Amino acid sequence: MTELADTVEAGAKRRARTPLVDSDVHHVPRTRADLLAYIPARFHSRYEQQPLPRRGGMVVGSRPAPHIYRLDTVPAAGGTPGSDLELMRDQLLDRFSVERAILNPTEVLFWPLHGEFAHALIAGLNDWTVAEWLERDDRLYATVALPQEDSAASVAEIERVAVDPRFVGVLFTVVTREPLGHPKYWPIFEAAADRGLPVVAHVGGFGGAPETGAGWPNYFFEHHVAWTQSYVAQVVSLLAGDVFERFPGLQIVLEEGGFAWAPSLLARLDRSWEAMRAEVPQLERRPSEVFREHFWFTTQPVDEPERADDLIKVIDQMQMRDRILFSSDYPHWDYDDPDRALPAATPAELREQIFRTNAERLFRFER
Amino acid sequence: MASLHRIDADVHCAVPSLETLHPYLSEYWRDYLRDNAFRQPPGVGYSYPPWSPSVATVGSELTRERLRERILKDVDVAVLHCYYGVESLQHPYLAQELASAVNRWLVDEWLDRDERLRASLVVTPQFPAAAVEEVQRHGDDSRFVQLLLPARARAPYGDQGYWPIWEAAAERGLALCITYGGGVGNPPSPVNWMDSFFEEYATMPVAFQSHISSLIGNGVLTRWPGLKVVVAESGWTWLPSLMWRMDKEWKSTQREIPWVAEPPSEYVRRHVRLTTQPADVDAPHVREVFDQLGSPDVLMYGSDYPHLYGDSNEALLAELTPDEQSQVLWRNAADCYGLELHTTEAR
Repeated sequence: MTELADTVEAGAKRRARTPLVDSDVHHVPRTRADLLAYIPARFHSRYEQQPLPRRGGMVVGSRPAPHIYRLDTVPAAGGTPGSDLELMRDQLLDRFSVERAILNPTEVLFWPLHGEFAHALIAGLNDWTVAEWLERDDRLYATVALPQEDSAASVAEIERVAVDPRFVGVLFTVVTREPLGHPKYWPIFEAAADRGLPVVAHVGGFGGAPETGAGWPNYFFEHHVAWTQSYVAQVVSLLAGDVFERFPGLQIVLEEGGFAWAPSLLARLDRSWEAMRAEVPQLERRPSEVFREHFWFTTQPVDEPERADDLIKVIDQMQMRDRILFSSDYPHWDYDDPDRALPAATPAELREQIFRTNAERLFRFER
Repeated sequence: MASLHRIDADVHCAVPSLETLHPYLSEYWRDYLRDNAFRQPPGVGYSYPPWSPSVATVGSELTRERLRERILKDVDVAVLHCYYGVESLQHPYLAQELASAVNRWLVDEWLDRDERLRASLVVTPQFPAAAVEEVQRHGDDSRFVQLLLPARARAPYGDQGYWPIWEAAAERGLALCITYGGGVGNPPSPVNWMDSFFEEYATMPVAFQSHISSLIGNGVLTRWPGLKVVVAESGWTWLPSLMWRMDKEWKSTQREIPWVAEPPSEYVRRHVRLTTQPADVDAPHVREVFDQLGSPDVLMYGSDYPHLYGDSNEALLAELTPDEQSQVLWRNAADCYGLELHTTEAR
């Protein structure tokens, strides 16, 4: 280890830590075969042979890295990063006094999301989450993975597993086949809202349309910048789609998409609404007002203004200090270190909100 | 405003009807379009639904009289955009015929009648060979200062398929003007078709973001170092967050795009210029967001006449120093378009 790394290590151990909530952590099967025990036998062959939906023409092939993980998260004993609870404890939970961590299973970012095969796989994934993770560390919570493009199957899955209070939300990929304001998703929203479970829209997924409203990008650089587009489209669609009038208790968490884009979008929405209310009569209140009552953001990958303190100005423009949640995205390559995620000038009170109390309120954690 | 000059970089004229273009269409196409009852390319109504109050033009559509009375009385130069939806046609020869007709109409009916006018050249980005021909036909007429490129496109504008057009533009010192609108048949969002114009309008700025990250990522701004990119009629307050995101992603993806030698925000500040209207920002934060641009060079005054978005220009100008005002009101546009104003004469 280098001298600098030693110093950082020592500093990290010395510092008295305030317990925190990490709202986006990923747990991964050690090998693909680990899930077989949770999947009906008749699907084993397809799962082993060809688990991914057939989609050509993606740009992710040019990603300048062999995988999506931090290089130091590969378990010494082998297996996929994120698959070793001991290492997760050492690198994240113990190290940073994580009092509660919310596991989002990333398999669904790549899996089929409708049909019997999808449902069987995803039900198995949820059972695996309970048995191999939630049962082994009481700091762990999770979101319910869903075959999101099949509303009936998704509702059935919520009814089946959400009786376990350690499931604190339901998971969507932010890219969906229809914009989230589409009525096909209403039964899922209703089931989530009825149980007080927020809908977590996490980066990833495939919608079938080009990745941007201006066509397919060429490079991974563009692809990664373009994630913002899906978040923007979902916010606009949810607000215009009469969703929050129907499900007043519904809360939406936008995960891993940044939030510096929000102030200008909110101003544009309000201005457009003033001019075009006749087209969207169902949207009876100012969009920014509704937005502030129903949306939350996780921090990672944290927006990095050229002047770091501008991040606080962005949050204040949004008027949403009480709706930003810290997330590390452990063990992914663009992980944010809790010690360095926020600008040094972040006021202590805001830090406390972002690192702990906002998440406690949203996920109804009792202290 | 005590500025010496003013350039309006964003004024819209429209083709009143297909008959207007008849003198510029071949007999073959005139007959064909009459027989199939063609009225206009589908992109026009898609991008600017006539019923939408945000784009209502009835009674205020640009005429030469209104141009004189409402625009030119206050400015030294006005840049005209004539969006005609040619990107929404899949027939390559019809698209080219119409683009060419609009350009000749622009010359006869507008540019030849007032020396203070400049215009964007209508081209068919989806058919590069035709676009190159159009650039060759008019590109040496210095009154055409840029190419008109709708934000909704088949592919982002950095894609190599477009490079012959950019080559022809760069040779002639023409800027690329990406403008609000466009209809190419692809959904306007990664999550498919939206349900209302309200939704599409609200999400339009992210389409511009695709083009900016594409032009930088594909190395277009490295290959043609003098090329300017103008972003018209879709605000500017989203730019800081885009620059922050691109700079962050660039740190970890440099090896994929080694020709991008500097942080993307540097290319933005050197090459990209945005017209001021409409600005999406709550009034108390205008100065804050202007400062986040990191340069007084990037904004160019535009009235966006005759679109009825509400005026955000005065709120911006009120926050600027006199030097910044003159940059936004005319210096940035004069530099971008190579316009020489008579600096000794005040208006």
